[in-house]
Amino acid sequence: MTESFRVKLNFDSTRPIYMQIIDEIKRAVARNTLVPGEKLPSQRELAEATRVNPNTVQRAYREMEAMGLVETRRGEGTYIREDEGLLANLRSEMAKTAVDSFVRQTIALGLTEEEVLELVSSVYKVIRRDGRGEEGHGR
Amino acid sequence: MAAEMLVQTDNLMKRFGRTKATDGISVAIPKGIVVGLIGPNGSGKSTFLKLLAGLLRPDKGSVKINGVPVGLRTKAWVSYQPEIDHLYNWMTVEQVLEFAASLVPDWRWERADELIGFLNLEKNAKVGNLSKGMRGRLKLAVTLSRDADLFLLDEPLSGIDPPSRLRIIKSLIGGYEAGRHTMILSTHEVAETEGIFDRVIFLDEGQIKVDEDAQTLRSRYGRSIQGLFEEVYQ
Amino acid sequence: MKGFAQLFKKDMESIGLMTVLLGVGIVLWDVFLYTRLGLWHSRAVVALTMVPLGVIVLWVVLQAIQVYRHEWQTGGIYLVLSVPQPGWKIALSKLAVVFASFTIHLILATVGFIWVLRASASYSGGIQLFGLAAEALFQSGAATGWLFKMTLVSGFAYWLMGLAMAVMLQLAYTCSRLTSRLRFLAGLAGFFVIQWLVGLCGAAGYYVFSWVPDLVLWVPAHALGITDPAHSMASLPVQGAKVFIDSGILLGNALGFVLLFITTSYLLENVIEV
Repeated sequence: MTESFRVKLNFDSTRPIYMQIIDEIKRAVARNTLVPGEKLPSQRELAEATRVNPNTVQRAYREMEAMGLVETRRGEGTYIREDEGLLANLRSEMAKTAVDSFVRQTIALGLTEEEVLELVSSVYKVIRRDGRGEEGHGR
Repeated sequence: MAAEMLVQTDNLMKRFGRTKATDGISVAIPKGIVVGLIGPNGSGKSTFLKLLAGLLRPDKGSVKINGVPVGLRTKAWVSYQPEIDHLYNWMTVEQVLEFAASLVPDWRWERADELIGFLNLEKNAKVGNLSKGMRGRLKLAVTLSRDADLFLLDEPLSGIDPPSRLRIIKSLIGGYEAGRHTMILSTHEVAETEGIFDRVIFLDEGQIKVDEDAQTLRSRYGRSIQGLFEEVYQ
Repeated sequence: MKGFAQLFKKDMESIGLMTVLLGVGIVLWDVFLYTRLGLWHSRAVVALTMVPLGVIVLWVVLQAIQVYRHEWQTGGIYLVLSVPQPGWKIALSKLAVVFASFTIHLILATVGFIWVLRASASYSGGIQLFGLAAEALFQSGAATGWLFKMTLVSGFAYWLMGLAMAVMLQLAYTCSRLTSRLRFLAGLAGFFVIQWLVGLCGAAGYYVFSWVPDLVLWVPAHALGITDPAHSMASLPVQGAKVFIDSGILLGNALGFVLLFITTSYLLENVIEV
């Protein structure tokens, strides 16, 4: 059992808490903070750690099970499913969300598609040159 | 759904002198949820909890638990924790637990031992020698060591130091069995306990201003209960 | 019954110090007076040994109230009234500790008194108790027997009186807790009303229980002031008079006290607010 991933919750949001929990776990999987086959904290442990109603955590775990993200092994706990396709899907799903948000922002700023693509290219170059990791900020 | 509500009050009224501490409160609380009773000082939170605990009698209206008017019978189903320090100063932690255990039908020693351990309470320490934070922890241990239907906690975090607050909140979550236990926590410090509420009731001057599912409120306004609380009581 | 045992233990703790202090005080007092025999006037010494007998009643008054007051002072009343304990159990525990305490004190005071009285017999001074010289009391078997009986009877009556005081005071205190202002006055007024009510019960008992045979108390001649120099000091008090005590009144009063206790229990369970 590892608590190397942190679940950060924002109560000033319209997004239900149980969904935020799922988002955070998905993020952790996409970033390899949680690996397939790894055991999640027990529902009660996570509820205590995040100071959230155990009901809410239970709902999150149930939804993740229904999504195929986790599986519960009787008497042992809940584990991230070992599924290659899962990881890839998750990554692409999260990337899509990030890009979607990004594109909308640039549209709002009045940039054209060409300008955006150029911008993306130059930013990549800068990041690679400075040797920074993929840990960025932002939602 | 005709399921019997655990707590049912109907136009509950209680006054002290000329002040109406509770002024026509009608709520129906089902079994198995955590309710946050929120409001500023003097809004009637303590009075309401005492009416549920049987420490105060209604002037008008009714208050029932499991369909039974609050009285000797309902006290067996309710574990109440007041805001004040109500444990005898001269008793040791161990004596307090034994005393409390003897007075109720639903005491669980395994839970008590677990809580004493987690809350770092020393069995031989005298209550009078404990710090405020430690006394708050002990109160909680006494309250949560019962297998009651309804837990009433009046400002369990008020005046408590941060490490103790964390332990207290974790203890609340740790022992809570959703669907089986019902908790009503009164507080005017909402930020730390926000996440555990299934439902929130805002009280002001003895009346209910808001009575809703916590998540519904957050989703509707895009604001935390803490934030809404600040806005409502501006 | 574990609830009652714990309640009793807790209530005892709240007045325990007072109990011990007085107990020790009585013993020290009597021991001190014992040492004064032969140095002070015997009559004075014996009279002083009776002082604790008066003081212990004052103690009952203080303890009966304190055992209740303690709950409100410490906030313990919140715990006691939020758990499913019936009013009578709470009230009985608080009454029992006062009884226990008073019983101990009464025994100590009585034993101490008789001890000093007996010792005074060997000193000159002519102590007269119930018209009988102390020497006679302890030298004549019959007289000693009579003294023993008298001590038991009067001790028992005194004990009952202490009990009665406790019951009345505890109800008065409980009633005073029904108001938020002028509590002392309310309690005081309540106490007098309660005494009056007990009196009423006694009066009612006079009629209702008139069929119950009266109690007879045998009082020796000497105590009635009938002295006969012809009888030596070692003789039995064969001449005397019978005193009748109306048992109807006593029964009425006793029932009254039971009603008071029931009232206290009822108030604690159904009326008192915190």
